[in-house]
Amino acid sequence: VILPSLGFLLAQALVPQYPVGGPEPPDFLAAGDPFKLVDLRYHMSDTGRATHELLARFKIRDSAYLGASFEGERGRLTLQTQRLHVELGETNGVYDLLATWRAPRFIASVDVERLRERQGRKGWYLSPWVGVRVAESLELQASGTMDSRYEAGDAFRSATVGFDWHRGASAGAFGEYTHARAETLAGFENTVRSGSLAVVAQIGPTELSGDGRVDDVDGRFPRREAQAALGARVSLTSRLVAFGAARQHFERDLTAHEYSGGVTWFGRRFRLPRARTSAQHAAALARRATRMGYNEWPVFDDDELRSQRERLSLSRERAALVEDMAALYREQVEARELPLFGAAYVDAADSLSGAKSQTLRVLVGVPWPITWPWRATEASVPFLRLDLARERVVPAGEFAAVSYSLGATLSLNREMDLVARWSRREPTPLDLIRRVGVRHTAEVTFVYAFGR
Amino acid sequence: MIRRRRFLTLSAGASAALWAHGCGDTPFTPAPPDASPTPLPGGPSAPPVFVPKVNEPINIHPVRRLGSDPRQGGNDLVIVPELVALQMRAVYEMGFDGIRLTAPLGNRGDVMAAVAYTRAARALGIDAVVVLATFAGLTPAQALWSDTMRPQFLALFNRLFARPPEPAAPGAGGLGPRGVGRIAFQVLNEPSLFFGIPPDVYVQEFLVPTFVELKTLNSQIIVVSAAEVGSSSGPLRIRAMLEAGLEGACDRVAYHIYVPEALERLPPHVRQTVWVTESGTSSTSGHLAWVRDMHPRIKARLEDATRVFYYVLYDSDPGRFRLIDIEPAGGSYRAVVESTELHAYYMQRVRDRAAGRPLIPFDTLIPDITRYFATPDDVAAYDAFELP
Repeated sequence: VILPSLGFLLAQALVPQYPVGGPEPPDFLAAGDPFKLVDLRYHMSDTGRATHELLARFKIRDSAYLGASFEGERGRLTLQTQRLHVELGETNGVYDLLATWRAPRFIASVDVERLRERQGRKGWYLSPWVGVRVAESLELQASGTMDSRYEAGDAFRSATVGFDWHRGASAGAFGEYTHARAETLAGFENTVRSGSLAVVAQIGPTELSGDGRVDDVDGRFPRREAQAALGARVSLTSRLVAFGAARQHFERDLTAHEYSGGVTWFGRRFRLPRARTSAQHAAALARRATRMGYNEWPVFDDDELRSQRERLSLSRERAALVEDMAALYREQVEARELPLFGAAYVDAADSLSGAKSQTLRVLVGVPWPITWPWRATEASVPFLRLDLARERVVPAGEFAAVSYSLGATLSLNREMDLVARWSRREPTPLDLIRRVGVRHTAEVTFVYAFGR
Repeated sequence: MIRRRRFLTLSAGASAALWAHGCGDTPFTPAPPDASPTPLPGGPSAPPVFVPKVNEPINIHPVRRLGSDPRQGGNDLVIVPELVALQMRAVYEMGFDGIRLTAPLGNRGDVMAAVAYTRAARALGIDAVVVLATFAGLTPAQALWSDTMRPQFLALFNRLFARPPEPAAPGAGGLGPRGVGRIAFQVLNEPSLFFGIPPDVYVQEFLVPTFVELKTLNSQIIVVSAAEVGSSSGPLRIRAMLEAGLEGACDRVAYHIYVPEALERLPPHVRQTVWVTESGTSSTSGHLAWVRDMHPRIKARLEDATRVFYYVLYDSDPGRFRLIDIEPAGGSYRAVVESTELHAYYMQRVRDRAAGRPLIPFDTLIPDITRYFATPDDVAAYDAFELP
């Protein structure tokens, strides 16, 4: 009698409690009746003049998600079913369209956009893309871009072939080769042949990532440019993570760099995303869904997992997948991050612009139930997070522009955030030339995301 | 270059010019010219002529006084005539075919000094490149960026600098109206370094509208694009400018070259005439080799380059770029040759070209330098311009 009671009490102590609402897993299969609100986002930004953004998405019965958003002069409608995703945008009477079809063995999409006039000709931008699943862990991709403002022989602007590969949650790689024709502002064309490769791997307590890219530019001013980046995140202890990254751009010599590093201390056990139990189960869920013909790729971050859940909740076999989805969700909740203190430093320079910058970022987190950082427990949840940043930019000669930003994120529960941000940006010399002075920006954001 | 900013704050007061040679370690040994200019016809008995403009152009600072005058602020109009005459005499006697100088909008005194130098040079048949830039602050860039201020700014500078002066004498030999020197406006200087303006933004937001405005205003003005720094990062920015439409927005594309690596990385051919508006080396002992050897290399590699401007006739940093120093001498001033070998090289080329023919002295041509100074109407026009 005593042992089960202790077990119950222990389980209760570990159940996350939020300021608003309970910890129950959402019902992913709940149909709209006929509509169910799944996303609501409002964002206001004011730098002398306020702009507003409003987004709402609804689940329509159990057949689709329909969304609408308005941001300044841009409006957008989205429609999502298990196989089809459509986005229709409009800005001042100019329309654009993105449509994606997810078939069992391939995904095809097309991006269409009305273009502004070029040399007296209006036209369309057209970008088809296809990814063929040749194996469970390998997708081959091909895409191209067309611009109808050019004469027929020149309208085909680029062609790309690539691949996406993964080895469960532990490793992934992406590579592509592009042959493109790019017109400069001066009106002459460069032929650019680019190859890129990106890899990520979880090795013990360390996540390593790297990418590289080579651009061979042929044209009036031929050259070869290369970029390389290497990053690492290491779990030093169960609650302390260190990270560092270096990105460099070369053309003969080093022409630009960005070096960063920092530490984050968490209020509860932290594991890197690909090292979590949930990552294994995410890979397994994607594998199972793909075998059922739903063509899902393993994903590991909360937003991508949510999108995947939404698609699968509309599938014919959703009842067979719902337990796996719920289990994965519970593991996500269990693996929630609770950063309480963090500091990061970024140093960057670019010899093309001549600009140099140094940025210091600090974060402070307060857990819920509210307590001292060192008294946070495994049952604690993120409640309040403060982000501070100071950036010093030296764009030219002896000028320096310093910017500060302060942000506060209040997590009412796992699905609802209230964010307030303020920043003060000193003008660069170019700002002063353009008669722009010190800019103060205030932002407020409310986010509701069902099933996040 | 940053040190050019310091220069004006140190610049100082003046009087008449006397050639003297510095007492450095370098012996005064005239070097043989690389390619002797074709001698003038005539001989010692022929009528005197202008000093032949046989040497490539040079950068000058529009020095108007030496030392600060506590009675005057930074925007005063103190221009010591002897100093203007001293530098212009050097330019004339050393046979330079052009000068390049900055007229810093926002500093009234320096702009008016630049007016005097420019008009005197042109009267002698010497071309003048006026740089629309500044040594400190952003005023010219602000005026060039603004659609409302740009026309007023350019109209003011057209009045101050582009109107051709009377030739100092017939036969000045310049390529402008009645033999005076031509005028060119260079639109900013090293915009990334001095103003934080990215290359594409420079072309699209500064050069293109200025070029259009100037061509409407006065087609005689040669529009020169800004050069970028003369180090190894300059060519990257020049390429970005070219890809943003530089060649179609100016009459001359400008480069700066201070290191051989910059030369190697500049495009050897562009669709425009190229002027290297600054070139030099920072040690006096290397001046002669730089001009005698490097300038031909520059022209050999850059097939569109027609002129290379040496940096600089005079500045306040001893032992670096300058050819001469200016020293107080009694109640006056004198020019002291610091770069003796390069000075001798230039003078030898003048002598070779003159071939014994008598040369008209500077004082004969310009007995009173103040006749080229800005007039009260010029000053009033400047004062009427509302600075940004």
